[in-house]
Amino acid sequence: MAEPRRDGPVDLAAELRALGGWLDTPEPPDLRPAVRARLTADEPRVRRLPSFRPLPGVRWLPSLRRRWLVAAAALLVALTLAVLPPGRAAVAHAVTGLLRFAGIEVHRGQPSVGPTPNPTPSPLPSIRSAALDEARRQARFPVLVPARLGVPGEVLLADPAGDGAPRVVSLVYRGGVRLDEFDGRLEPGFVKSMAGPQTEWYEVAGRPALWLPDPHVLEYVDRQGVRHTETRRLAAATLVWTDGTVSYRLEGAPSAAEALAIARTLA
Amino acid sequence: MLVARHSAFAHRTAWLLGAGDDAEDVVQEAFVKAFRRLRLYRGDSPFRAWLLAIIGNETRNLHRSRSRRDGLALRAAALGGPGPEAPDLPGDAALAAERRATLLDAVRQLDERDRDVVVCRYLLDLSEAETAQVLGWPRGTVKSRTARALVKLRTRLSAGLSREVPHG
Repeated sequence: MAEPRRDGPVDLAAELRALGGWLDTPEPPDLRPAVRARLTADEPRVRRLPSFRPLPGVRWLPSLRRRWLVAAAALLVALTLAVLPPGRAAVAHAVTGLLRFAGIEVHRGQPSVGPTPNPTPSPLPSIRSAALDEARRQARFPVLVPARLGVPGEVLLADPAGDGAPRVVSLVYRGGVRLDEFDGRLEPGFVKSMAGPQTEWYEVAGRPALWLPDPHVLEYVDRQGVRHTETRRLAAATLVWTDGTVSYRLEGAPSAAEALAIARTLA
Repeated sequence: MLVARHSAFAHRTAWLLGAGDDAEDVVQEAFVKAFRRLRLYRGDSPFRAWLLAIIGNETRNLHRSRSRRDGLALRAAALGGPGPEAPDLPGDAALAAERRATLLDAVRQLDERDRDVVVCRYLLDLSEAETAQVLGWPRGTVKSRTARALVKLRTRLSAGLSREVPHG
């Protein structure tokens, strides 16, 4: 087979570098307590090193050094979360089953070993009910309504910014169907889903859409990137898509076909 | 802030080198060792490379202690991107996603050493010198192994290129 020369070494290297940017790795966990505990516990051993035996009169040095080390360790881990690569707005797949797409983070794995939903989950932070008109005035993104579902039974605004602009607008319909609209330009992501291995790709208005056919555990991630485990709940089948600036999450449609039909009437 | 960057990158390095779910342990171990050895660090190599060398070493120890590299970062993962349900997904984004999936797949199929060098040099975008430190190889080996891995990748990809023309 002839090797296509149009794909030269420079192109491939550049492509691989770009690929690296699309690979999302999980957030480093908070290692601060563990590292601090170990550094403190290890301190006597460190002091016994001949090169670091304190001279009489400068005994404050080791403890100062230790305090500095602990402080540095704390700083390291505390700031880590703030400099994580932001969630990608478009399709990104991870190498180990983590998938970030349209403001949601899907952790795929065995549902049996995943986190369990709260029996009585809390709603999203600072949630309140509002009229559709008010939602449209307050939100920084256009609040669209799927014509197929019509006027929602309830409109919920959640997690407002300082000026009251909600980060999430939810249209709630009868029968357990809800459409979450989320300002997708904001980082970090919006929710984490702990889904089983099933995910399917479709298309809405020329853009990829992700279908999670099985019930899955869902939790809210606020604008600081903090996971709200108290919101952890079991979510029904969900379609996720984005128009480039706003991310949509339609939950409770009976089938992918119906979810797509609803999504395509969004206006 | 700089130190924090090291931390996030350290985790990413461990993860992509195949520490997988043990990345947390690897990074924790590396932090502790780095702080413990801080006085040994003379500043004649960039701090990042020094820390990454510890990460690389810890990850290798991890692989040695496993019967196989089951936590391999590039193991068979359910791929994102358009699947068979949407074969005619329009748009550049879909095409690009497909290309990335193909590329990742090709990287995954490389031998362990080829894959490690591709992960370091390209996916993590490390320099040759940094790669040499992370993998514990001579720099010349990094250079030759990188070239060889690229040739292998290109050969693997040649079959799947019919639909995509790299721009530029």
